[in-house]
Amino acid sequence: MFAYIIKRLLWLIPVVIGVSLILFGIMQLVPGNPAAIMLGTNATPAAIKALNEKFGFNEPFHIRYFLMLKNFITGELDSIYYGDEVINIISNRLIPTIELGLLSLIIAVLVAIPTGVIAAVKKNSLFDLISMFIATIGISVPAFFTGIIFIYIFSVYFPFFPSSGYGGRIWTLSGLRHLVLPAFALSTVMIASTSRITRSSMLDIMKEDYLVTARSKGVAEKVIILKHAFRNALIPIITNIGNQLAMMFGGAILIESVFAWPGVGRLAVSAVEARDQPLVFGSILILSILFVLVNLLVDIIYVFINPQISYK
Amino acid sequence: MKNKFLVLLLVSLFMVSVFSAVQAQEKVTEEFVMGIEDEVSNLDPGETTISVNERVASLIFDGLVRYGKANKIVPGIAKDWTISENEMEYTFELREGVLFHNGQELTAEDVEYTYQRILNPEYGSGLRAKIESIKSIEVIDDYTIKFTLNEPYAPFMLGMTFGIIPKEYAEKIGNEELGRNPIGTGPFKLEEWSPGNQIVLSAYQDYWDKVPNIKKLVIRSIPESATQAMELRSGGIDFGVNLDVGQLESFRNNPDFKVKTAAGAGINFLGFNFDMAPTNERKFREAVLQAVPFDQMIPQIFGILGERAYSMLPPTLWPEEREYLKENAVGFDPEAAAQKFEELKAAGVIPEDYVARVYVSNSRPNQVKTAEAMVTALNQAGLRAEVKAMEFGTMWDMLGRGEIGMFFLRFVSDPDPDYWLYRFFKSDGSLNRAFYENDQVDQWLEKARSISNQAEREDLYQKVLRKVLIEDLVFHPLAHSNQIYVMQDEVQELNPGNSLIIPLVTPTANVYKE
Repeated sequence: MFAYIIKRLLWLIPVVIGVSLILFGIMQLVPGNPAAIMLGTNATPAAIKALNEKFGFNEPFHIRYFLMLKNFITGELDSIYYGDEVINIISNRLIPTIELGLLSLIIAVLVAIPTGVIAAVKKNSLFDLISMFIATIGISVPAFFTGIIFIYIFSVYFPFFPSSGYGGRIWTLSGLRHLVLPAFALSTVMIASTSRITRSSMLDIMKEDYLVTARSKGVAEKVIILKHAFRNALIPIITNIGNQLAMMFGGAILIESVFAWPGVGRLAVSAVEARDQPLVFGSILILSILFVLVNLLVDIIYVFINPQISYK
Repeated sequence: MKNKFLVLLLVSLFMVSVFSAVQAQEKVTEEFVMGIEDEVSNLDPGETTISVNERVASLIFDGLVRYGKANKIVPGIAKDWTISENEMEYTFELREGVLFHNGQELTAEDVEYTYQRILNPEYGSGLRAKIESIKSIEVIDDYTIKFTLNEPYAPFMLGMTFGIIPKEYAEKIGNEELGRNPIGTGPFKLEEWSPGNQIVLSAYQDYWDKVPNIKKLVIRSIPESATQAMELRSGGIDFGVNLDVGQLESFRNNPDFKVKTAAGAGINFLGFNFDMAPTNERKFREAVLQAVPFDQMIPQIFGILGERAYSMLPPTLWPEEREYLKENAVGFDPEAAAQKFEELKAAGVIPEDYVARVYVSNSRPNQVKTAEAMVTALNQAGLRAEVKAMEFGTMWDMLGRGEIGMFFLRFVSDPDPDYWLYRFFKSDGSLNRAFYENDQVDQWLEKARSISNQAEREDLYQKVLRKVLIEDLVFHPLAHSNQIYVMQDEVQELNPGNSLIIPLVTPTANVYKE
């Protein structure tokens, strides 16, 4: 197991190199020059040239790539737009992003899994129909729309929560109050997909012969569902949650914009708009490392759920 | 016992009356929260070419001079100045006792350092272009400084609005750190900066001019217009600047809010490429303008966000030339347009498979709508056309390389015609994206910036505007963007007017909440 984790972590090296090469290549193909965008309407050719010189954009491709990768690894990569170290900027944003992601994960798991299990056990009941209908709506309605509706109901009409912004760390009251609405809005999509997967995965398992055997042995229905069926149904559910969580870290851009949340997603978008190459490079690389780590975590959780799975 | 009670009552009554009297007189506002449309990335006043940075930095830093009523230049840190006979030497007399937020006094050394830093090409400041005419800077004594120019440059005074930074502090911490921990002499000082979320400023009690009524100012970046509207409704912010048409209407009819507008937040215009066929043909450009009913479209699309423009210059800026330009602008005449397109096709100027592409930045919804309506009108007049809405950085790059024939742009600058015209219409102007070349226009523009006689300058700019907008149809002005402030009803003395600053403490206003 330990060897496996080390091996997986070592795999990060080729992943980082691959991602960084693709990323750097794409950034070269994207039209637009950071100096021209930064200087905007005041740009003179001389000023653009000077700025390009300052940021080393006049060097050949491979030299710039290695320079950027080296600076990324040593933490010296400097953002053009923010005039600060990329690592500082990202770590400032990463905490709000992780707080938002984790809270909506917890909400989603607490709501979606019981819903999915009950819907599967009571297949075709009223509860099943209604919950799956709501889940379909949840998948179809974009999260930013849900977000705006939430703000209108819970902050303008009934002023329970602040409409937007970051209120501090999650353990402070203000931080938690600011976090509630975006977390619920973000969790809707995850609730919808997780409850549907839970339901279908449970239904598959419930057809298995060993459950019939267990029933004929006289095992209580509760134990059959929770211990035998649910545990075996968990693998696809966990996989789905892992993917969703990893996407949340980078992909909550719309929710971040609606709630003016200072997260990594918005940062990456504004970095692209400003053609801030070092910041794009740094933030996407960090997000992809996070993605790999979350997936590794999911693989480790498999072992605990199903002892038949083992890694060598 | 009875007496005691009476005394207590009287005392408390007295206290209440004193207290309420004080409250009625004082305009002190404990906290004021405003929303801005973008995130502040850097507060170094030498690097603030990005609009939101510039506006927030203007609260923390002061320049030698500043904008007063109707954007006239009025004294700032400099209480007076003299300009030499040949208009090449500007001598400023600084106020004594102006203190930076760290308690140090501002001297001419700091002013010199500020300008030398921006002039240094290696620093790469976007502001350098505005003061390139400086030949030398001389500190005469602690409170006197002299700028000598290479040649007379009329808009020079606008460059004297740059925020002055403390030399000792800046040298100690370096440029990067200055952008994050700015220290100026402005009415507010930085308290806390939570990146991407909010900036907290506090009133600087030792400010040389009037101390702000607002004690604590919170500036929150709220990119979504809908969210800003809801923050206003829920009372989360006192003041917002980023609302679009639909939401504005509901605020206008609501007595709990004030909506104020002012012209002059920029010009939206249509431009043509003179290096590319068929946009280099005057007949083609005229036909395009005749084919599209801009006069009807603009009010419908822009609503209160803008007004129909006929000049490149905002209505607040001289010379007053709008009447002439309006009367002589190309009007809507679809039949004439159709005929011209027909003739141009027959003559081979418009190739058989030609599709006119109108480029527009997708971050400007009103321009996109205008472009879409324009394309419909062009198709009706017999010219195949389509909209290319793209991300601004990409479009900007293509424009620079001359790959775009027709484009929509928006531009805003400081209040001097030179800033608005020179860079677009001078052959080697930095923003000459039309690739327009005309010797006479070059001469007029060059001359107008080197003289200071107002009447003569007005005359020259009049000639330039008539030549490029009416005779040559280089650009077609569409709409002057309005600056729109929405605020809670109790906010007082907050008026739009200059889009480069946040007018919380100005020579004419000191904002407070009732």
